[in-house]
Amino acid sequence: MIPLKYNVRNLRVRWVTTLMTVIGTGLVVWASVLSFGLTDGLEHALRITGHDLDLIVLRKGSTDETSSGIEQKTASEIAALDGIARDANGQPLCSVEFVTNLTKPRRGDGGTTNLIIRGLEPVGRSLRPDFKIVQGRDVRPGLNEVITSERMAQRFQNLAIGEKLEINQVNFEVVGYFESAGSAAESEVWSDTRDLTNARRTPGAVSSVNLRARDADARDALIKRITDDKQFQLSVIRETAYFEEQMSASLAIKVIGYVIAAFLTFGAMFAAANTMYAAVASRSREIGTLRALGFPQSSILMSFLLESVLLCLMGGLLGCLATLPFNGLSTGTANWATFSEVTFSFRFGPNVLAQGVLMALIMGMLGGIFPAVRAVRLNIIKALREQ
Amino acid sequence: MGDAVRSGEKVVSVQNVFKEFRRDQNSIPVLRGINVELDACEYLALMGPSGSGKTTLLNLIAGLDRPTSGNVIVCGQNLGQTSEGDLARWRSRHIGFIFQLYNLIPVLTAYENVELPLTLTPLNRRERDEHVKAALQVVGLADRMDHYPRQLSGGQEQRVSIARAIATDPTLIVADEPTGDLDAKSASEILDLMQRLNTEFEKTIVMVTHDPAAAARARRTLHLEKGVLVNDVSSAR
Amino acid sequence: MKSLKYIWRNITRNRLRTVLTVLSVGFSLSLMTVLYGYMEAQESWGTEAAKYNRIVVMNIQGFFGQLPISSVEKIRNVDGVRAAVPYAWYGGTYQDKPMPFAQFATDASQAFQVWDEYKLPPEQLKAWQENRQGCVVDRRLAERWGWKIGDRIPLKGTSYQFDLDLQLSGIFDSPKNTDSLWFHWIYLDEGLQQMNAPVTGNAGTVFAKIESSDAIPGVIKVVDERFASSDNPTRSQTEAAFAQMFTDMLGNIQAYIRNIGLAVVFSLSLVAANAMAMSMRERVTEIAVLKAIGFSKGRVLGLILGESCLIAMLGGLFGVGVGCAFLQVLHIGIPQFFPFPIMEMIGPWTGAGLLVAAGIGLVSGLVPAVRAAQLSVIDGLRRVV
Repeated sequence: MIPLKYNVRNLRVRWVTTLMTVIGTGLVVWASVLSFGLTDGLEHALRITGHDLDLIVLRKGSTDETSSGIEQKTASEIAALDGIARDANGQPLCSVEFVTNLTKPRRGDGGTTNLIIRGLEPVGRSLRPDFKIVQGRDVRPGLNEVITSERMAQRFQNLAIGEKLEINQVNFEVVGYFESAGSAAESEVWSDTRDLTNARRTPGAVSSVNLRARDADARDALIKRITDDKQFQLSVIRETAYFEEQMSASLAIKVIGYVIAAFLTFGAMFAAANTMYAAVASRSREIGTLRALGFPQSSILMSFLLESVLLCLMGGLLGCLATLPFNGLSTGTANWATFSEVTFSFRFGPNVLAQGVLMALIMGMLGGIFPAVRAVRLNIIKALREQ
Repeated sequence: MGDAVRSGEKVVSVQNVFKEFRRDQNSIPVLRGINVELDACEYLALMGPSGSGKTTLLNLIAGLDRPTSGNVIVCGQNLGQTSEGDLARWRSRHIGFIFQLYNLIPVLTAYENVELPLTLTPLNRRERDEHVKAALQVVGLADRMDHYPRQLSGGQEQRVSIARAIATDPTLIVADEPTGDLDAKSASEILDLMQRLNTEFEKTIVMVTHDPAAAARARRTLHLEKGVLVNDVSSAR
Repeated sequence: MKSLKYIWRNITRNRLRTVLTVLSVGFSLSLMTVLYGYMEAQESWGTEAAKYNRIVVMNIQGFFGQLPISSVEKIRNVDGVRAAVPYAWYGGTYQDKPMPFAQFATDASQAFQVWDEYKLPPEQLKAWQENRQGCVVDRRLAERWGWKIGDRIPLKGTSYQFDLDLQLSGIFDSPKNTDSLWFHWIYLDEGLQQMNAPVTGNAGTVFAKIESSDAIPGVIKVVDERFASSDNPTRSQTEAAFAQMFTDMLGNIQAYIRNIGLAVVFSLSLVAANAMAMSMRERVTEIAVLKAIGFSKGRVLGLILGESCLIAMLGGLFGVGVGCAFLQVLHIGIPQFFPFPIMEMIGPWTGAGLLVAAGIGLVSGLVPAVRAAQLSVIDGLRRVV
């Protein structure tokens, strides 16, 4: 083994080239990790929303809540079914909900987009992960009030506490902010079911029923019971699957992310190869000397490969570090499944960062292998004669 | 000291060696039927005009190259029949190199340069340290061991290179124009040092040189011309 | 252009390095081409739409609000409106594929007056108007699915409870691929009424053709005022503004893509500059010789900038080429995200890729070129000798 310090010092000696290559690969890793973090944030928001025992009941043929409609009578029958979990007070964990969409302007000059407004009863809150009011208070029925997440308040006009959101010419006052573990619920505005359906002039309308099964067996039985019932004409989806399905909404972003990463990896790989070829060319005599001293070809190969990997890894780490200021930064995009805004935060977890480092490794390996092979194939005698 | 080369056994045995280089379609003969034998502790100078094949012969003896035909047996190893990888291992054990342009690794200090061939041996860090310091002591540069090559003069660089050549305690030292790039004073110092290696440390040395003054220090001088041995003089020193 | 030959020789001297630099610039620029192509595709509907003097009327609450069918007639009666039709998104599945293409419920009597740039043979239009379950599709859509006139196209509703059993009556040609199927609004609505669906008589949105672009602001004002005090106030906008709403929905993603593009260009400049600097370092003596035999500073500067620009431009050509090819592949693979074939998309933005390449060439060559121009002849000659 040729000592590692040989490579480190060589990188240091031609520091301008090293720095430029490191910044080049760093930017490339940065851009890719940023897009991975974006996708991961979006998927995390959707994934954390799904609870394994939760079911969503929709009208047959419907694929999402906004396009679903259920009769109120049917909804009450579902609530009475056996196998639904109960809370501490013996209330069934079954929430009859009304979901609608509004086109509203974003703050700043962000254009307009669609906003999910959900009407639900108090029990619905216990079906959301870690629901809690963090500022202001919860809505009181009959007063035309709404609550939302702080993230939404920052993104949309008229959604800050004290401001009024107009729904079909009825003003709803924002009275509080809630949190729900960063789940998709934080992309919504919540109101009282009756207030909302009245404003929408569809009193008594129900979009979906959300419920939690007692256990896995009860869940499967409920699915069978509801699906098989010819009167109901309903479809029931496990919440995890429902949000899994919506993740296809992030497909476009994901595809873009991976396309970016793939193209950039290639681009940076060639850059690394260039740098390493130059290194090999300018060090032919050294390579000849090392070979003469008795270092085997494998050592030379490893040494140059290692140098290339080291070079790219520095870029990779730099790129990963540069994404940290974006960690937790919230953003939003269209969820095409619900045709509305979904807000989420960039997430740079170990997985995402590992992908960035892996990219750097691949760049280093692929970019270094050909120059390293060239170094190995140098004829010792000719190499020793190089200037 | 020294490898298990018993006296009486030849350190180098070059038997009827031919070497041709191929350039495009033509093959150019460089060595044409060379026979040389070297005993332990010999100090041989190879002389001859440019293109006479002296460096090629040196490369063959050093195991950097293989003959087109004939045998080169050095330290008991027939180099023509040894694979690349085995040759590399063999060189690290038996050969010390001294180059005209020193060929020190510019990013490593004097100490690290001398240590470099030792990393190919099974010696541990402490043992390597002893060897490096001993070798630098021999060449008189123990106080410069933390200097980088560019901080040394040409003569000093060549002394580091000699320290590197002897650090692994090889049987044979090959030198290609060791004084070719040095002023007269430094050259003389280097030649003194090499003579010491031969007499005091009983190293077998093969040296290619243009310089009659350098050749005069050797015990034996071979003259090559157009790939053929023309003269073999042993000085009775 | 005597120097061009010398520049070319220099470029081909270290072929490997040139090829690697070209590939490196090329791959990253092809990425930019794909990203900007994607955005161009998103925006092209809007830019295209501005030409045709159409407005879109929808419920002020947005896509999910309702617009009674009677409003179509009211809009037709507004001065300046040439034709108006309901236009409701059906969003059904075909062969169990969700969102296989766009499906709209509209009115056959005026659809081809609203979209008068779409061409449908008169006998096919007549056939469609006479067949209650008839539908017409974009030619490219028909080709994609291999439909022929008379074929049955069953669609299953997702947001509507009523499934459609359509028959292909006609195939229309449009300037850009619309990926759309049109059927009779009345067929859908009667079906919904029979099933006692909660919502019937909903036109969704109304598209109207206006006589001239000058008349548009007036019509928008009149329409919105007429419905302001009804149960369903409206928001009318030009088709271009309507298209912008979809782009807006993507939110910051656009800005984010643009920023990534910038970062990539910046990193590319570094990479190319690096390669250029490496070449220059190896050629110091040569440059000194050039100056010794009488090349002026300016000429040396030009030679080196010319070289870096040419290399970057080669990368640009390669990149834009690969990017366009990739866009075409994406168009075939996932047409829902890339609705246009590349031939319909090539425009000024493609040239921008080449311009960026030239810019990268200039920036990357600048430092090495200035250093070479300022190199002292004596130093340069001594450095290697």
